[in-house]
Amino acid sequence: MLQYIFRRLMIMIPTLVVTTIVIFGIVQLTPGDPVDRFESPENPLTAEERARIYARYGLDQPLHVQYFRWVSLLFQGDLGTSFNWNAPVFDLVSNRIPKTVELAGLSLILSLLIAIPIGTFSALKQYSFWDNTVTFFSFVGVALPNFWFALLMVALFSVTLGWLPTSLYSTTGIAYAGNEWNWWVDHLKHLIMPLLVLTTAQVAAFSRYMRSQVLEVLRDDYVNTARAKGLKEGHVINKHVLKNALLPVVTLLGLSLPFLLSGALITEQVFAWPGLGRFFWEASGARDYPVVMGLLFMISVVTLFGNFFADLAYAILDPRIKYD
Amino acid sequence: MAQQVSGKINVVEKSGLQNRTYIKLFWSQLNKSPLAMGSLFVLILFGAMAVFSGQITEQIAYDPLKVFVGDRNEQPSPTHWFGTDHLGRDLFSRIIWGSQISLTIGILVALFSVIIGALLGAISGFFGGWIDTLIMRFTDVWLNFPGIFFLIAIVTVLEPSFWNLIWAIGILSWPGICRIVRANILSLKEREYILASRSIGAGGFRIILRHLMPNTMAPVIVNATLTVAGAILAEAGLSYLGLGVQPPTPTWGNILFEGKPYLITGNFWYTFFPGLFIFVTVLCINFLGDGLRDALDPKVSSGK
Repeated sequence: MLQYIFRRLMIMIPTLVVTTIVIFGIVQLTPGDPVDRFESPENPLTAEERARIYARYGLDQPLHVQYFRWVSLLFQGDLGTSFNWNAPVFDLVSNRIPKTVELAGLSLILSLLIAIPIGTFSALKQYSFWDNTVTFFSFVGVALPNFWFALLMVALFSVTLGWLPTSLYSTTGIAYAGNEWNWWVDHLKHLIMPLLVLTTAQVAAFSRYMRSQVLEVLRDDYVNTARAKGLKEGHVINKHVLKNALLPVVTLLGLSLPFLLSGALITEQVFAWPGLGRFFWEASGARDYPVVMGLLFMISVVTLFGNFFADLAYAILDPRIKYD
Repeated sequence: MAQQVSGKINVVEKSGLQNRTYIKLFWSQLNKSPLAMGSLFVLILFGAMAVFSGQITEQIAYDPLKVFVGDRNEQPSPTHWFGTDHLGRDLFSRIIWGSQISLTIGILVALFSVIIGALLGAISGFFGGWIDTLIMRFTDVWLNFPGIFFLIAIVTVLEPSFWNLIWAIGILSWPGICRIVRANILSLKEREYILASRSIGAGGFRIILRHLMPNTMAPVIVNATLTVAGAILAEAGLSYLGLGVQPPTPTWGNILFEGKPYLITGNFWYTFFPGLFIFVTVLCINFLGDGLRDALDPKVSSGK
């Protein structure tokens, strides 16, 4: 097992290297001089100032030197300094991470809680009316563009009915000193719609996956054996079928991280949720390259480790799989 | 004697066995799924709408860029079926024209990713060894990228334009096809007919193109169909973020983007209709893809 972990970690090194090269390469494709951003028609930069900014960001060095400098800083935990905010990228990001984790994490838990029973039931009653309905709606859920769905919800719940706020993390400009409860109620109202939007697509995808897993396990011989020796159907399903069908879901969790973050980006954008995705979008719009590069790297690393832990969990949970 | 032979042929024809070519088998299989057939019909309709947008808008609607000065933010009505936008342009005409760009992007992205994915997958699976390791590692790296983040980075760096969108979305969509082709070729290349063509001296690329690729077409077609849907969604998502094809050229995504601020004032149709077209297209493509998967799989058709 240790050997497997070690080998799996070793494989991640070339992947990380290529990832950094791609990220660095994308930013190098930018037409124009990155220093132009410090210039305005009223204040053109003198050649001296230009050279000073170049030196400050290390832009006067050849490309490979710039690359190695960036990578070595990355591995020291330094994501760079934002052009726009003139602050370390890490500090800027750190108070936005919890907000994305809150939204994406809650959505993940909620969608699993909903999708696992739905998918299982659907598989047990294959081709029934219930199953067909679930299948149809999971197609709808997958095809539903999340930004459009979000806008429709805003039109209904905020504009027409006036029940929920259109956007933001909580209502600004209200002091809740000594009355935390009201703040939480307010925050919850802001959370409902983004959470629902993000969860819908996940439920659709997960329940289909769960359905196919259960169907596959149901065909296995040991399920027949369990039934043959007279176990009650509920026992067969709970102890034999579900346990094995849930194993691959662990892998799915790791693999769904990039989708979750991508979905969160658009949802955050629609609802002005002050998370990572929205920050990333603002930074790319402002051509704040250190933030863009730092965040791309961070998200790639998170995804990579997500997959790693998913594989690891799978290896631990499923004794049938031999790793050597 | 001659009569006897022709008699035999007649028997075969009557039994219908001779007529069951692969295409016909596939078609009859697809025919069994009303959802897939219905979706195919809707998609053909949308395709025709895109091809003939000029004629359609000329006959029954307006120029997509024409401004009706007095009719800003009009509700849907017999004159303006889907209402008008904030500049007084007819939304129905804009959506018809928008289908052109949205559908073209979807199809070109799928083509792009099939070409790259199939080529790399075939080389990887056929030659094996270090080439395989190298390509598969590379594919893993791409699969690992959280799509929309990289799309945003690429598109903001390169300026959003039609062709930049196509290759940016395409370059993120090929790994799935690459893996499928590789897995298929790995098992196909051990078959006798490949050994036979090797023994008569066929070269690697000839075997790949003439013998292996045609046999992996079924899963590639299914995957390409789904890629079209993914690309349409990606284009619309980027447009929604203001990073799609730039106005005034209409696409479904950027009409929705322009309509966003007017949602609060109650003009819900401005965002509703373009989104509906995206949704229905993607839904139909997914249904069709699902139907194709069943129809193209010989295991399913021979089993029934």
